[in-house]
Amino acid sequence: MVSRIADTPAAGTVSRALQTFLVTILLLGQCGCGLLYKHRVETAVGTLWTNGNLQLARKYQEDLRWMKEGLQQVLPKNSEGIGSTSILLVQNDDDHIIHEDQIRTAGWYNHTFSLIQFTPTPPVEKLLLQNQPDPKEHCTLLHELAHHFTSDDQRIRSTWWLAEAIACSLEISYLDPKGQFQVPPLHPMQYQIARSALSDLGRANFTQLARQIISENWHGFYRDDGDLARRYAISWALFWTLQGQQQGTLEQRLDAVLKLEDGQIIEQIPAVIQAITPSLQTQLQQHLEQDHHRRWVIDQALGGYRIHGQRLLEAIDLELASADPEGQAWAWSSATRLILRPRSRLNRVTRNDWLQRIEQQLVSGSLEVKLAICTDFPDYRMAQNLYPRLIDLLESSDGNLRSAAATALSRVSSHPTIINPHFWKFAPESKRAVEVSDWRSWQQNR
Amino acid sequence: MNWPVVPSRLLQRSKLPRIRGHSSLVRSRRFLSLPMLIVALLILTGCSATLLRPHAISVSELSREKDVIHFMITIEDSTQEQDFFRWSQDHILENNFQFENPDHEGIPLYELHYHFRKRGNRFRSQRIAYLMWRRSETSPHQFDHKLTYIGSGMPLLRNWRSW
Repeated sequence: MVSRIADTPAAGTVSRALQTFLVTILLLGQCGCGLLYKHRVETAVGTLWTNGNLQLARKYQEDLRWMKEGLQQVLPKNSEGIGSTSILLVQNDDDHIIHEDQIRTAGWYNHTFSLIQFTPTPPVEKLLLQNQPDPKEHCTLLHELAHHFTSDDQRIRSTWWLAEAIACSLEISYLDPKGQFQVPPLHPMQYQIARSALSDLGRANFTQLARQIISENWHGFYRDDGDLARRYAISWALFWTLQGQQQGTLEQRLDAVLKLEDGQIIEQIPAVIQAITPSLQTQLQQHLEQDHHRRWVIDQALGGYRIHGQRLLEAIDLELASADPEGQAWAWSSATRLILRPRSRLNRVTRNDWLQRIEQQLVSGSLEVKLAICTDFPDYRMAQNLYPRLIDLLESSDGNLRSAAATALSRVSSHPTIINPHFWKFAPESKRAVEVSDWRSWQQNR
Repeated sequence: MNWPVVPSRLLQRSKLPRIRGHSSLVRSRRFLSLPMLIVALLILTGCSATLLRPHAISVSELSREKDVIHFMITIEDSTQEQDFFRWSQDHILENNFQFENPDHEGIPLYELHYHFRKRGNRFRSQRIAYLMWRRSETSPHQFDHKLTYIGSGMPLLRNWRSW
């Protein structure tokens, strides 16, 4: 979200009062953060202030470095002469309570004071989101940082829908295993929201809403009327479609979109509707061929309700053929998540073939691969073939693998076990042997 | 609760003036008694209000693992979010779950899950809160409160393994 200072009346007294207020705020900005915040951490983009966990602040210190370098790489012209920013890292005291109906502002950016306020995802939310491919750890911070890197351009700063659309496009960027900054080809969540809006509103009302968004002022765009998420998503869909029609680098395409008049943008609303009509899975599949996005696409696709399993398995096979040890672990874990899930449109032969391959990995794969498979074992009951291999792993010499195997077994079977990781890592072998024996008896009598 | 008892010898040594006969203080006592009674009642009701717990209509138990128990608690009406925490905390202490596993003797409990439901009309109940407690890594004889989720959208997860 971008905040701004409202226009001031010309009246002299009000103007003087405002000036005094601004000077006070500026002075506070210069020295006040030190008074209000306990910790100060210097980062690649400016000073980070927090009253919370210093360890977390240091983690963001590292993240801000690659975020800055990445944004500089994709927006070289916009990044020229960009100043530093202050980041206020807010951590809630009571981060063990989640309210289902609670809507909170995760971050905002103020261009005048070059200030980012950022509330990281509470640990409990991470816990809830852990099964999703992107736990959104960096999204908010990267979103606000994208505002900072584009706010020197008056054309972006004064067009609220565009400012948010650009920030949304960049917020899901990530650092790939090779350390390269990648901007994904589309934003799955915004795509889904925009597509739902189209489905709910119909073409005519969607077109009307999109036209309205393009002409909204600050108050109109950010008003809290329950449709804010929809405005963000439709803004993103507009920008995504328009920049997709252009050629060149991301910054060149952005420049081309900025040159469009409102009327030209409105003319493209039917193209936006056409662009968001296919399902997300269909959209994602189009990018499976791109080496640098393949893993991201597979991760996103696996989070879907109904997937094209065959296409994804072919892509996983490509990763298996060329992957490093870490990549191998990722690929086998993805294959496990795909094979052991419903609604994957896989035929029985392919499924059984891959089950055998996974079973083989549980016997002779590397420790990393075995750990990855066991850790990502989904809660799925159709994996009886793998029970004996998982039971064998309860006697592994590696405590982490024993613990992960117990977890996997508890997810796929109805037989009760001990899931406390401490037990499987540190309990005496004699005690663990009792539990393993219990599993073997159950397996024989099944 | 044990009330403090003032030793009799201290009472004897008291140098406070004794009330004798019908002093003005005693005469005004009847007028003071009513406000004092009200204040006392207010204090009593106030204290009982802060000690209030959700009234559980029924508590059922589901144990899919040897060291994990899920409790389904049906309550009469909605209550404050802190009350869910207190109720579950009391439940742990009352049942001595830090040391005892009612279903599997000798196996320490690892996780306790509390699913609160509000009794609705026509036997339908609505999920209103979920709490998760996990045995502390630093103090193994205690449970740590990991999360409280207020709402009905929380999936009934079997077990969560890691943060």
